[in-house]
Amino acid sequence: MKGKDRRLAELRAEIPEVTPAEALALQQQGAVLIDVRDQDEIIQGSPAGAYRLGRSYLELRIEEAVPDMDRILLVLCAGGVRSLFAAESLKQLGYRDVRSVKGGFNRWKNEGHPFEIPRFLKPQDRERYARHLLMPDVGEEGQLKLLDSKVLLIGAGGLGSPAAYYLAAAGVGTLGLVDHDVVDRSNLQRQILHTEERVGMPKVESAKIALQALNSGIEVIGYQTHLDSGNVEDIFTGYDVIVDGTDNLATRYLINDACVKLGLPNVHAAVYRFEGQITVFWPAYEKAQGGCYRCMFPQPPPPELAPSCAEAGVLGVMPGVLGLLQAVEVIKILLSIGEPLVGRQLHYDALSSQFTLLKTRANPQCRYCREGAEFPGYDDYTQVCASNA
Amino acid sequence: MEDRLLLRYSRQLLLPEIDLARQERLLAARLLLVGAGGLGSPAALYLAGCGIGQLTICDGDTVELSNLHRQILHRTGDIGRNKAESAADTLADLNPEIRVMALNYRLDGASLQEQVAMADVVIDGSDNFPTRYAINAACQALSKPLVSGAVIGWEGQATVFRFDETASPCLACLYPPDAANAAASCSEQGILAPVAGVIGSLLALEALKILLGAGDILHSRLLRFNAKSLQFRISHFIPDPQCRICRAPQSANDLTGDPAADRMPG
Repeated sequence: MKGKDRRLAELRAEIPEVTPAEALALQQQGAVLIDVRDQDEIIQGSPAGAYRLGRSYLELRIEEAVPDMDRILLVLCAGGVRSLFAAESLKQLGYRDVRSVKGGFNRWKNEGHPFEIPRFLKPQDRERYARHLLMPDVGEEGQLKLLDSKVLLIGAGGLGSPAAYYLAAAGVGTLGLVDHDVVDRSNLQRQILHTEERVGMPKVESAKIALQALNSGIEVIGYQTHLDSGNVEDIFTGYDVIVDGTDNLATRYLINDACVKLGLPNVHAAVYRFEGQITVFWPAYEKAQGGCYRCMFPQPPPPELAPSCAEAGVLGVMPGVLGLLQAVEVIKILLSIGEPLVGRQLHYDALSSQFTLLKTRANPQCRYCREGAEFPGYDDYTQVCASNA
Repeated sequence: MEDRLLLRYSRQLLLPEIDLARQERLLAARLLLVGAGGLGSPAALYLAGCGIGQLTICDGDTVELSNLHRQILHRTGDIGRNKAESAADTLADLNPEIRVMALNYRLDGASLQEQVAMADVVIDGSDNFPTRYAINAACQALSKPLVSGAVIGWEGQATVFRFDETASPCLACLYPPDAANAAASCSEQGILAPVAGVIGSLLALEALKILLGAGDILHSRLLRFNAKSLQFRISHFIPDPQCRICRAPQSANDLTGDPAADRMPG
């Protein structure tokens, strides 16, 4: 007997085999179906909902994908041979119940079980996003999801610069930017999207040049306008996440109200001198409750208590850190990975190097986001700062 | 200070921590950045933006397509160019008022000593342990403050070694060379793009705090960041009396003031 045949006989004695019909039933009860075929095979079709981890990285990726050693693993290849070898390797890693699908995908398909044609990245995108593809919880599926996503950034300034740069680099497929302003030389100490040469150019145009030079595979849409109650819904509709990088309270209320009405997550950050804070307002999120901006600040302060209209001092790297944390939160939301900062607010004091997480609570009386609230309409606040400070 | 510089830096000059004298100090500062990659990209952009007078950037690698998902100093058109040179062009576009020196080779031995000796602060944005240990040893020997970071997957960390002050632990106290061999790298485990950005910008911030003499520096403390939970934790570490690199004398008063392992409540 040849070595291969002897080994297969041993494996068949050791690894339980299931038919595709049994595998499908087990999968529906929570077992994990793992397709270990190569990409050129999978591209022709793969069982619906299967994990496609690849044979050569299987042992390195499985524990991240399936941390529970007690879950049933169903291993599938083309004909039911390679899956036996893979199943044995998974058992050696510590998985207690590993089975091989008899007849593999050929039989699965012939018996009429559900399969899908998985999408794959273009070859140059596989290279561009290679460091994301190595992450088991991002992988090809996650990268495709990012490329399908649409994120709108309000403000192409101190917070928007790093957020937009990294979301573009990471391959978020559509980035919208709202900013009415033009680039000023005094912006360049912190607004790294812009350059000396583009002083005087609309910020959204300058940003588009920077982002597409980095990654021409994404779409950048500029809105060179002020957000107001008349345009906010038109602009927001169709985006998956809104990033609030504004520097004025009136716009923050408008962003909040539109996000609550449209059910969109609002990734909100602010910087004051050497302090910064970030949270996610997303009343429609199901796994945690944290309310909206108006739960914390129901109305803008009266002029005598409002912050000064004069610009506060800022060191560029502070909005840099906070804008980058916004980009992290956006990607987590888009990929449904980790815990978004819903119901929590991170406060960073750079001078004392202290990071503090605070809980935030929904206000059950909030006019905007309380259960069953009818949308009270937008407020066009004209000026929410003390002008003569 | 000339008017055009006053305008350029006007927003930071409004800070009480940055008066004209401190801005002049930044404009006179020399910073050595090793690595124009994932950590170096945001660090260099923010340091250039705020007017660090001389930035020396060294990197022997060339820009590859797979770098661009996080290395925002480079552009698609820069693929194949040396990273330090590509970085210098991007920084000059942002702030033509500073001097950027690009060293297009890997620093080691005498060249490393020479560059460290000329720097006021060193940032280690390299991606491998041999380089990290070499930078650590050079900074330790020449008493230069070293700001150091690392990232992998969804996590990152940052710390500062104040070799310009007494009794600083060093990288080898934190990671004895034998243990570090097992450490994984981004090229094996991947990295979420903005995680590199978060840590890189925090490195710039610590370097600026050192140059400005402002705030509480992450000295003898290791900051660890977990992007999935957005938690930052700070733990203290102390010199290893057996350390082969620094053999820093233990000074109980300096090092045990705050024994709490984690500063931040979970």
